[in-house]
Amino acid sequence: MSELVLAVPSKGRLQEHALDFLTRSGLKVERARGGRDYLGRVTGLEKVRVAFLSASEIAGELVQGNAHLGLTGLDLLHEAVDDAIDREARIHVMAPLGFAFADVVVAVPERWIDVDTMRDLADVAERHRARYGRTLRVATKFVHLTRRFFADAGVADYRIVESVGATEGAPAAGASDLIVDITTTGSTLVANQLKILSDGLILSSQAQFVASRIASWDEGSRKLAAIVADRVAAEMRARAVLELRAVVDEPQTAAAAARELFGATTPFGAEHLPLTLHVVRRQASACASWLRERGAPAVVVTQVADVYEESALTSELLAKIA
Amino acid sequence: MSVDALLSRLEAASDSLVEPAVLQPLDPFVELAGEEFRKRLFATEGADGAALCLRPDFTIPVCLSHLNSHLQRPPGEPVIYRYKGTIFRKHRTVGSPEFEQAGTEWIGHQDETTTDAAIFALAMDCAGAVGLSPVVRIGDAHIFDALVAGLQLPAAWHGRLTAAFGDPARLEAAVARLSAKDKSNGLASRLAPALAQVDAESARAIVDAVVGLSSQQVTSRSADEIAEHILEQAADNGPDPAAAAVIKRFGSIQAPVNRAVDALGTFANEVGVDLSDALENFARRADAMTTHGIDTAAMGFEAAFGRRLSYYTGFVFEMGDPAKPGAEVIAGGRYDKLIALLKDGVSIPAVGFSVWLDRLPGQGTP
Repeated sequence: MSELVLAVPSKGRLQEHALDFLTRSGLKVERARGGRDYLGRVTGLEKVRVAFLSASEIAGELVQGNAHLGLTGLDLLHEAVDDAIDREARIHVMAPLGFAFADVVVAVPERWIDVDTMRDLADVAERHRARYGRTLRVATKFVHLTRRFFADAGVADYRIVESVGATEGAPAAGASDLIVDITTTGSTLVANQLKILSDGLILSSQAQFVASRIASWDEGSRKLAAIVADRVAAEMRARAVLELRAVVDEPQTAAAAARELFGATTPFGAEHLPLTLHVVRRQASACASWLRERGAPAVVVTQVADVYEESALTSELLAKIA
Repeated sequence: MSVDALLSRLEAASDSLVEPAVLQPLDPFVELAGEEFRKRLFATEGADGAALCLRPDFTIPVCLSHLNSHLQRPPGEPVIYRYKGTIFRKHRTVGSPEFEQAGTEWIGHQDETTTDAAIFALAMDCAGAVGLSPVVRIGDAHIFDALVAGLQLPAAWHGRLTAAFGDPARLEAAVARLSAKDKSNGLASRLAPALAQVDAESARAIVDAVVGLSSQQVTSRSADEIAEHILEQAADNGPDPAAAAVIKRFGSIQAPVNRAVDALGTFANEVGVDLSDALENFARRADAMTTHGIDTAAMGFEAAFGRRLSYYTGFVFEMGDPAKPGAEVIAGGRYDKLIALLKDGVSIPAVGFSVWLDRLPGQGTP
């Protein structure tokens, strides 16, 4: 019996956000033995097995093909497979999820007032070696991201000290000279008297919905993946747009103009009245005013729950796991 | 058969065989060759947690073993080692990650140019023993060092340029930086106008005061070091496109070894930089090579050719198989700085070369 493995974060705020997102997408996760269970099912989709793992384990399982779909951070995916071409061969990043925003940055002690950019850091690294005969030490868990970024920035005289937790404390503890770490507000860095270099942003990360291209895909699991992707796409589309309904003259011309001006789509075509338009949220008011100016006696704007339609998300996924 | 001929040449030319362990301490390689080289190491751990790696190279292990064995002899006494064994590197573009090398390291020989020529002659002899008429590239970092010293650049540039020599991308980036105004908005550039108004002593006092204002945080870098660096940055505010153009032009110089001194001499006259000491040494080495019966007209000098590793200091060479361009069969060079980096206070000149046995003609690897 073919099954589909969906990997979901097992801890903290990330898990909360992920489960919220799945629930909104009509993929409610049930756990037979409550919150501590590391296995779950999706209500109504018996063949979808939910595996609760740490975010970095999820990245690992996806790139190894042990999970079909998963929710994890972009930073961890980049760290799991360094080479961009290899990464694309292993995983397909379907959509950003709009939570777990964080930046991977280079941070040095505040006291290094002579170091503002990566160039300054390159100079200091080289001077440090000349002066003390040893290289600067960079504490991080992002070994691949660090190597790539430092090489591109021309910083050669350094070495990585792998750090699994509390990286920001490493310089004060004497375990490293500087760090590469993830930060959301920067307040932990400030509390540890560290500053981010002005060009020290390595990666802006957020949670992503990801498919493994090298998992054991067959007809059954592909069908399940398409169902999951459709639901996710329906939820994302519904969140992104507002629905506008109005009775207008020459609905076909109006629809074409609305597409041109506001990127409006017509989920039910333009033959029937009232004309139904889907418009991205920030354009919705402008579009409503425009419809009124065209003589619509009323424009009704609605927040929709789900929009099931031909989605690029699903078709791209199916192409990538074909 | 040909490998045996090569090994017997090495044996005849050397004082002793050195057999460093396959498992080596990881730290010296990472400290000396940098994080980029670490990607290519097969790293592991000892039972006591010590970081180890599979031998990725012979030069560092041979030097470490030399230092450990010097209790029996003064470390500076000249000795010629030979070695043969397996080395391990990930991500090789050509060949298996596990492969055989043989080679020699000459440690403690004082007459630089004579020694360079002698070891080069041995490498040519080894190539001949395996039926290789090699394509030869020769470089000399001393000439680049002399050029940088002669350009009268701000102090910060000496380190930047010499550290980048041998790495084309890094050198290109450094030259681009030299030719364009640094858009840095750092503290030093804001202090520079004020510092330019006062004498060196007052400038230092100002910077010391500024450094003192920042937090009393303890870091691996001292207040002195930070202050010195800010003064250096402040003094390094303008671009020097003329110097950048000279370095670029130098990098494009290529000539047969017997004509290299003329080409470099003409260049030095035109750009107004004195390279005479470095060129004299180069000529002396070329003459010594001729004495060994080497046809220097057939050897190619490339001004930009050097090793990425900062402990290489002068003469470098590569010998390739004309049938398989791109992968050198024999590579060597002078690394006078290495032993001082491995052991504080011990400075010994050294030069060596390695033969990639899996790349010899007829050895079958593509």
